[in-house]
Amino acid sequence: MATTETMNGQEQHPHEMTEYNGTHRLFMQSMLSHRILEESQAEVIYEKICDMLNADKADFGDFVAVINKEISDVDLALRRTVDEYNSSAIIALVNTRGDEVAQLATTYTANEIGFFKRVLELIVTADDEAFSLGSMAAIREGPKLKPAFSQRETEELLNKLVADKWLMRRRDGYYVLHMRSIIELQNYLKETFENEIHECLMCMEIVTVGERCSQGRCEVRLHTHCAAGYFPEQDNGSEIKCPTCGTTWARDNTIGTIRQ
Amino acid sequence: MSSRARRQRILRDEDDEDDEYTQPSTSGTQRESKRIRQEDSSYNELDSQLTAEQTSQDLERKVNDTVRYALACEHRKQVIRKDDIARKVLTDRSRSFPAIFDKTQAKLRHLFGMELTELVSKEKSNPAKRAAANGKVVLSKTYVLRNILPEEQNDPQIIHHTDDEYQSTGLLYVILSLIFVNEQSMNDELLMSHLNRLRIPEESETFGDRARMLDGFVKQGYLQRQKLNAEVAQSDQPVFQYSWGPRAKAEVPEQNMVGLISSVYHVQGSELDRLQDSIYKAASIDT
Repeated sequence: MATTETMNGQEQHPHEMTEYNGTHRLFMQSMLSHRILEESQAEVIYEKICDMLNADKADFGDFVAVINKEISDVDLALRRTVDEYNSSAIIALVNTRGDEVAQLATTYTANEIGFFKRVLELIVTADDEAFSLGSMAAIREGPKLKPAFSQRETEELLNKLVADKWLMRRRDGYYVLHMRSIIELQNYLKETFENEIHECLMCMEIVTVGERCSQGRCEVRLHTHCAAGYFPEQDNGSEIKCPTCGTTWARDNTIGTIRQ
Repeated sequence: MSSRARRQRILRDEDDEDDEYTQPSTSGTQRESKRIRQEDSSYNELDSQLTAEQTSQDLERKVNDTVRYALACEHRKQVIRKDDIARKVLTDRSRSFPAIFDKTQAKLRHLFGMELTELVSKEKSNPAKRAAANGKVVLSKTYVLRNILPEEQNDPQIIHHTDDEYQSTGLLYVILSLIFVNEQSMNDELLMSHLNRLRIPEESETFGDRARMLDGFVKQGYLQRQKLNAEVAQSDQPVFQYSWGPRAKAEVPEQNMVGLISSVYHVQGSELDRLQDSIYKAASIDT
């Protein structure tokens, strides 16, 4: 077990802060039960844990780093990123081994995984980078499979995928990828849909909700929140350009957003 | 998996781990490194160095795989079989089971505050076998992953449970108490009549198909269901008898069950002692 030996004379930073202890264990149990959380919620949980165990509260980033150092052995990691849909900071417990989709096999049958893969494909390859799938279209897919799912079974399965945070039902009723899928299945998505999946030029994470360059052959995509940070306030209507090809950038040329 | 593929995986994992901490600064670096990783030739010089470390690395990998396997089984509330660990996870290293098992336990305790608990074997229906066991506890070579953190840390503000989990756990505890105070076993018919009285019909909005739910409890090891032979049952219809399954015995100590049942009555002092005595009597446990 990798318990860090502390150097002598480090009065300023007691080693309890950098050593994996009861607070980390309980936080891991919490993350195993939640899988994905808004970072603000995760910090509230961390505070609650410190109160309960009468432990000093460390910087949250440092706390997460201590956990990651230990759990990487078992191919797990806490990954901090930004929610594409509402720009809030989130934290997720992810498998770092390449067999992500196989991990689903712990709670889904092979046929159910087959259906989920088909839904992923339809979402990712949707026309005009809509990254969404209408609910009727999703339900129609079940009966097409071999062996077929009845319409009712298909609806139940879709509900389960939503409850387990693999899919999300947008307010217009369309199915989109839940952030859990985007984070946990990123290698699968990148490898399977090389042409459709783009990484944000700013943060290098997968982008399914954001803005794109108006030049059709240019591959630049930006998350909504990354674009907001990159382009200065458009107070005087000054022209903004694509950081790569220089084409005039239209902020309303979006992908993965609700279409009129 | 070939040893090269495994080494590559280890190296790849280390790479992934690095991705966790470093912000990729320029486009293309990720793709670039992926291509390099895939080139076998770059690892040739490592071949000779690795053989010595291979055994211990290999062992370490198996420990980590076993940890992951235990977490996955627990996630779907499935009992973990020793045979399955040996066959599916350890494969060629199955003879190292004891060493790997000890290290797995240490890791589970350290990282997650959980440990594998071996379940008590089904009581043998065959009298000869029961005699052979000589009253000793027979272990089953099956395990469940049990939370070993103090109970008060299982706080709903920290650990998330779905509504479904709360509902089915609530019902499970009711069934376990009913069986407990019925001298630890209850036949099918009586259990069903209790459930009917509690307004849990064969099909309900909350619990769905009742029979399927009971099957689930049996499969998860919380309940045990035995078919009684015709003489004992004194009936021409098959009669089934329910008792606590090995998982319930491992997870729910008797005194907790007595505490739970007596808490319903809101009594204290000597009255509580008398009540608890009678609960133990109803469970045919000598105090």
